[in-house]
Amino acid sequence: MEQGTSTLSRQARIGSVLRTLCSTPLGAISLLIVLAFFVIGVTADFIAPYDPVKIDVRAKLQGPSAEHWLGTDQLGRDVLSRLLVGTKVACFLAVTSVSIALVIGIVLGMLAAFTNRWIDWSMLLVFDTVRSFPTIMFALTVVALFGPSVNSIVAIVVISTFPSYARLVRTQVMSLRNAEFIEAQRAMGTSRARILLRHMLPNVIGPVMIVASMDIPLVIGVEAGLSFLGLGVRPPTPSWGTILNDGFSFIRNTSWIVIAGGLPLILTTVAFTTLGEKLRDILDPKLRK
Amino acid sequence: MSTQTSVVDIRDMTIRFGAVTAVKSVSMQIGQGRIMGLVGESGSGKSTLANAIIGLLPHAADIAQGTITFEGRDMLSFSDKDWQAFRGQDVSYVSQDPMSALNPALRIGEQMLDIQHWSDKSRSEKMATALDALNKVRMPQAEARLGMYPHELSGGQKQRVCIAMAIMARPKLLIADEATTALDATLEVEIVRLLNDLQRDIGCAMLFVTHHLTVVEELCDDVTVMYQGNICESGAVEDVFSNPNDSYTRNLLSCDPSRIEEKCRRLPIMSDLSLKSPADPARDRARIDHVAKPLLSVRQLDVTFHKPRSIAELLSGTPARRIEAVRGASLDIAPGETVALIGESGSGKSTLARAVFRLVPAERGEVEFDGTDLLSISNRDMRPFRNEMAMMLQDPIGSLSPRMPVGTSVIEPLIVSGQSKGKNLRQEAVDLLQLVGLSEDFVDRYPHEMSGGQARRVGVARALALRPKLVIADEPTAGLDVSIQGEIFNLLAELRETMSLSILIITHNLHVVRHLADRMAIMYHGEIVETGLTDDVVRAPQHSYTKVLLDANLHAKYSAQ
Repeated sequence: MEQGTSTLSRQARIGSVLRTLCSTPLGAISLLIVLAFFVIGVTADFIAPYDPVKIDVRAKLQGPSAEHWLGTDQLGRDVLSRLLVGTKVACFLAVTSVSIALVIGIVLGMLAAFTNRWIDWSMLLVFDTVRSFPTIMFALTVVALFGPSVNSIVAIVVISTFPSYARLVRTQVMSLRNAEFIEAQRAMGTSRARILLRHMLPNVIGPVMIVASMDIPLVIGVEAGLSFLGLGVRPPTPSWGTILNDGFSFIRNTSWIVIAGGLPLILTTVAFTTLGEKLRDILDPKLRK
Repeated sequence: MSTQTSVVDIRDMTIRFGAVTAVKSVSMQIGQGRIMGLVGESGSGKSTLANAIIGLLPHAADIAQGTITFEGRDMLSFSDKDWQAFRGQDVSYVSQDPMSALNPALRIGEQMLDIQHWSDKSRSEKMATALDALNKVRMPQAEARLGMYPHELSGGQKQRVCIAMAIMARPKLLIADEATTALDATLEVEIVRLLNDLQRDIGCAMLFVTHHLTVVEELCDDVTVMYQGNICESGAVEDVFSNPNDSYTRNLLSCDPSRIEEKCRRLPIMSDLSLKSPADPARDRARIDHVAKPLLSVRQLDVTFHKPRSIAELLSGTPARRIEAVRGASLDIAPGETVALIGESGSGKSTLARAVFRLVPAERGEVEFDGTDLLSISNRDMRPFRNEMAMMLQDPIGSLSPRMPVGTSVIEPLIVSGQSKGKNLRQEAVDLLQLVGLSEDFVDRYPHEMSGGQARRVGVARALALRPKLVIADEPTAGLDVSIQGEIFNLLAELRETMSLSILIITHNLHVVRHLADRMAIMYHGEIVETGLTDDVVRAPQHSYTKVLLDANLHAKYSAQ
C-alpha cells in the first residue's frame, strides 16, 4: 500500500514536469539529445553499420559518402561506427561513476549530518581536502600509479565528485533536521534509520540528482581528455577521446574527423547541463512561478 | 463617511487570475483620515485588493474591469515611474512578516536612510528624520537601534521599525496587511494602540487587512467584509458589528470565540451555527477522573540549553552560555482532563512539551506518566510510552512529511510501533481520516495540496492512530480562520469524550481555549506562575502576568443583536 497510494499522483507529477520541460525549445532539444545519448549507448553494437575496429587501409581518410556517412580515419575505420560505439564507453562511464559517487556521497553526507559533530568535522576535513585537488593533476597521478584503463577513470571521477554530493546532502539534511515533520517522527519514536531513509532521503534526493545530471558532462570530459592524452581508454577500443586524438594527428589532411568526434562531445555536454538547470528551475518550488 | 472626500476610490473592480476571479466587481472608498478594516477569511480576495491599491499585483493577475483612483488620479494609467514616486511618498505598506521585511545585511539606520531616496536632504538630516520616526513608534533606546542589525531586535521591535519606515514619508495612505498576525497577543495590543496613535498624529488614511475581528473593533473606524471575492458589507464599525445586515457577516461574528460569553461545549462554525451548545459542568466533571492518579505529572522540571562553544571559546576556557528555558515547572493532568498551557512565545511552553517527549533533554525533575518516570528510563523502555502519548506540532502542513501521501503519513505511527502486521493499512488510513471528518480521497493527497484546516485534521488523525491516552497539541489553531478554529476545537472536544483522551493544549490564544480547557496553567519566563480552573483564572487572575495576558486578549466591544 505504501507504494500503491502514491503511484498515481507521482505519474501525474512526472507528466507535468515533462510537459513543462518540453514547452521551451531548449528544454525539448536537450531532453532529446540526452535520451539519444542513452539509447545509442545501449544499442551501439547493433546499430553501428561497420565493425569499429576493422581496418581497411585502402579506404583511409575518406570524406563523407553514402557508404561512410562520416568518412573514415587513417586506418580506414568507419568514423560513424567508432563514434556510436564510443558513445557506449561514455554512457557506461557516466552511469557507473556518477551512481557510485552518488551512493557514497549520500551515505557519507547523511552520516556527517546525523552523527556527532566531531565525526562531522573530520568528515568535512576529508571532503574538503579531496575537493581541493585539481582534477587533472589527480587524474594524472592515478593513471601514473595504476595505468590507463576504464577503471582508473571511474575511480578518478568518483573520488573527485563524491565530496560535493556529500556536502550538499549534509547541508540539506541539517536544514531538515529541525523541521517539524522530522520532530513529529522523533516524538513517535521512529528510528534514525527510518527517519533518514523514509523521510529525509525523498526530500534530499531531488537537488542531488540535478547536480549529478550536471556532473555527467564532467565525466565525459575527463574521459575524452584522458583518452586524448593517451591516458584513458586504450586503442583500438573507440571512445570520443581516442577519435579526437586520431583526428588531431591528421587535422591538416582532413578536419572532418575532429569535427565528427568533437560535435557529439559538445552537444551532450551542453544538453546535460541545460537539462540539469531546467530541471532545477522546474522542481525547486522557490524558483517556480 | 460618504460626506468626506475619499483618498482611495475603487469602483466596480474585477481582478482575475487566469480562469479564477479573485475580486468580483468590488467598490470601496477609504475616507481621508479614516481607518478602514478589511476583513475576510483566507482566500477571500482581501490581500489581492490591497495589493491592487499599491500596484503590486502578481503578473498573473489581470484587472478585467473597474477603476481605481487616488485623490482623483487614475491609478490604472500610472507608468512605472509614477508608481515609484507614488509608493515612496503617497502610500506606505507594512507587511505581515517583520522578520523578512527587513534586509538582514543592512543596519537599521542604513535601511531607514535608503528609503528616503526621494528626498534631497543631507545625510545627517535624513538620519534625524529616521531617529524621529523611531521615537514616534516608541522604540526604546532609539538612537542605539539605528546602528543595529535586524537580527539583534525582537519580533515586536522589528515590526516597530517597519512601521517607522512606513510613516517617515508622512504618507496619505498606510496599508497594513495582517501587520499584527505574526505577533503574540500582548505585542499585538501594543502595535494596534501604536498604530491608532500614529494615525491620529499624521492624519493619514489607513487600510488594515486582517482576519482578527476584535482588532478591527479596537482600531478601525470603518469596516469592509469580504467573502469569496465579493464585498458582503461595508460601513462604520459600530453599525456593522452591532447590527450586521449580511448573513455572512452575522455568521462570522457569531463564530468569533471572543464574542461568546458563556463557556461552550461546542463552538458554532460558519456552516452550522446551531452547533453552539453551552458547556455542561456535570458532564465535564464526569469526564475527568479526579480520583485516579494523574495521568501525566511533571515535577520541578528544569530544561537548560547550552550554547555550543566556538573553538576560540574552547581554547580560552570560556564557560558555555546557559539558557534556562524551563525552571521548576510542575503540572498535573488527570485522566480525561483538558489543560491549557498559556504563555507568550519564548516563555518555554513548547520546550516543556518537548521535554515530556524527551525531544530535548531535561536537566532536573520528573515526568511521571501513568506511574513511570519517563526521564529515568532508557530509550528502548521509552518506546511503549510513545505509543500512549501523541504530539501535534504547530505548523499543520509543515509537520507532515512533504513527499509522503497523507494516507501513508497517518499510519506511520502504526508502522513505527510495529503494529502494522496483518492489517489492511489502506483501510486503516481511510478509517482514521473518516474519524476526523475527511473523505477517502484524501488518502492520496500530498500535504501541500491541502488547506491549513484539512492538514490540521490529518495531524489529529495521525495523533490518534494508536489510540493514545494523552495528546499534546502545540498551537493547534494558529494561523487558521475563526470558523476553522471552531471546527478543530469541536473535533478535539468530541474526540476527548468518545476516546477518553487527556489533552494538553499549548497556546497564546486565550479566547478559544477558554471554552475547551478544564484547567489553565500560565507560563511566564520559563516558570508556571499560575494554575487553576479555567473559570477561576479568567474571572479572578492571581498573578500580575495573568492579568496582563487577559488584558492583552482584546475583548469584543460591540455585540450583535
